[in-house]
Amino acid sequence: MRSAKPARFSKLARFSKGAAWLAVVVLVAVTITFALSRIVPADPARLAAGLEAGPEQVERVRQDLGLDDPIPVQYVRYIGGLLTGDFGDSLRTRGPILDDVVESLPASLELIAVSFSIFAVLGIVLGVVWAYWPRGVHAVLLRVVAVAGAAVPVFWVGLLLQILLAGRLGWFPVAGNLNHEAAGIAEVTGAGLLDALIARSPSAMWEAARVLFLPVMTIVIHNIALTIALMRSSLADQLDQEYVRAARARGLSEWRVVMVDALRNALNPVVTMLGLQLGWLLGGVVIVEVIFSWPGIGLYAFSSFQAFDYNAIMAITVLSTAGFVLVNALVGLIYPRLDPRIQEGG
Amino acid sequence: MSLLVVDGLTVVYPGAGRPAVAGVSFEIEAGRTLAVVGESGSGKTTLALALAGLLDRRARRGARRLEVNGEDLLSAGRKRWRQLRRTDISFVFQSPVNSWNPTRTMKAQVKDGMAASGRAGRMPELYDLLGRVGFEDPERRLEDLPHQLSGGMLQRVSIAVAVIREPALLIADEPTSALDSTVQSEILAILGELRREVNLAMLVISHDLSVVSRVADDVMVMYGGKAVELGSRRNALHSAVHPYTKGLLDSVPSLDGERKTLLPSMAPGPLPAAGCPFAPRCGLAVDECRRTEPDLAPVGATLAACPPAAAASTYTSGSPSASTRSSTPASSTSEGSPGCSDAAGAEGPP
Repeated sequence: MRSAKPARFSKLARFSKGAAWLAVVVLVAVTITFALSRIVPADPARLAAGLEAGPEQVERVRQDLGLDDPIPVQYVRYIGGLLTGDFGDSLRTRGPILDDVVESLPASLELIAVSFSIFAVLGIVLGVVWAYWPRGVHAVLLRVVAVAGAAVPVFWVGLLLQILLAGRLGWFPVAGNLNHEAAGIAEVTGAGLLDALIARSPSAMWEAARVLFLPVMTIVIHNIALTIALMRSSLADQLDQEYVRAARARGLSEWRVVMVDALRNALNPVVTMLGLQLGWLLGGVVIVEVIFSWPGIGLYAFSSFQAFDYNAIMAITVLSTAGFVLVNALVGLIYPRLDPRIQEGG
Repeated sequence: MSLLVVDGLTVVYPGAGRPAVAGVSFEIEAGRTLAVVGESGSGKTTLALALAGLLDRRARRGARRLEVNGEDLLSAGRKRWRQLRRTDISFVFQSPVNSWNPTRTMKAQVKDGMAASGRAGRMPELYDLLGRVGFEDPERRLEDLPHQLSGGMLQRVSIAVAVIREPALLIADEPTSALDSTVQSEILAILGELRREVNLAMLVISHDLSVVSRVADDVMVMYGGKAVELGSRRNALHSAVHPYTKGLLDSVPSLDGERKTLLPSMAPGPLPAAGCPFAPRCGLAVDECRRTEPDLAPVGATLAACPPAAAASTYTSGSPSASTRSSTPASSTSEGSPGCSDAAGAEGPP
């Protein structure tokens, strides 16, 4: 049990098991998406050929796209393409989907990373404050935030912020991403904040933060509610445990009792949920990006849906599924650090 | 001078009708052990927590006097209490498993405890102490998580961490009731031995009369938050006058005969709002008992909160004259012989 060799071996075994699971989940997702794309009544060849096209042209497009082949052949070809990183061509932009994705991904990742960091950190801090000091004005306010934030729909929050902070007060731009040219910086990564940082331009950073503010706030308000509420109840549970009293009896400072002993145990369910939330964000920024015309993967997905660009839709579905599974696999690696009774990957 | 002076200690939890601890008074001298006996809900754990400043934040505490080492603690703030727990007051809890954070190694937690009392660099002393109390290979075994050690082992660590800081007062809340009887004996022996070495005052909470008969110099019996009888071990276990103490002693099964009388079970529902809390279960209860709450008064060889028992005993033996309410006659009484095993069913001291 204590010797290093079998542990190392089983670590590898567990890792391969995890990777295999990831592959299976993604394959199932691909298959379902593929099936759905062939079941829906809309005709992609018709859409790709355009409204003006005659029947012969539509047929030619159908042949070009391989849509006249038997479904199993199309399926195998599609899987083969995926394995080589080929998601097919977009019916809308006519270019490889991978290029479109690579172009729109940085903006989304920037939005997600900034929002997630804020609601994860702030949510944990506020939840801890609420659990440790359960009475007072701040507790009432936090309860309102926790209930309202979870209950109010994202699009409503987004529109409200636009009307109030952008429209009425004019503090923030209504929509859109950082204009690199206007800000006078080079487009290196595509993520405004990062590019401004690379260019060491404080004014560009300020501008990038300003355009980020409203979409980030919208995501944060919606997601922080759950984090605060779960952190509070989880830590309150831990603070009632006998070991907390025993640690106090040993003369430990409140900081050590709460932050070292209780918080670590209380973080377990919170980390699980943050992982799920991050996973949802990867596929779920669509609404926020559409509201704020944020040129990320969500907006790309939305346009692809409208155009019934089935290749793009499939690509996005596959990627967000893979992202979701990957995030949760990573979360699984955090558990044993929080609770050593849990075996890694177990 | 007594090391611990408690006078009129009352603890009320919000929303509860009766106080959890109602006007309890006693003293403990250095080197002596007071056992607090009572059933669940009698307020003994609340009493113990109050004496270590570990009460729930919502609990209301009041007292006429509360002194440790001559220091008045009625106005002590949270910081002062923490300081006291680091140097003067140690606590051992009932459940060894629940006394330790399940997700951190014992070593990390023990180190935290040692650092709190300014002994971070003196781990070897703790390993020595642990080795002496039958904890094998402490340096390596403490690398384990709590659930990898047995209850007896964990309780040994709890006691070692509590004793090594040489406190003036050790409070042990049911230190052995979560352990099986062999381990229980070992732990009691360890507690007794370490206590003699350090010469600390000890407050042991227990519902187990065999434990009480082994460790206590004095015994305080609690019922419904009140101290109903207080006396030396010998007197409290042999010449008890309060009907509850008598009932408790009679309920202990003995090897040579059947139980005499069983304590009548408690009627479901809350304790009476006024009068003696024991009145509903008491054979001696008169109307007066249901109206006024009796206080401890000398009856026979102990202090008992029972006027009817006092009245009965003046006929037979006559109570010793006591001009004022003395808190512990026990501390001045001579130590009883260890021959109380018949009453309590204990094995006697090793």
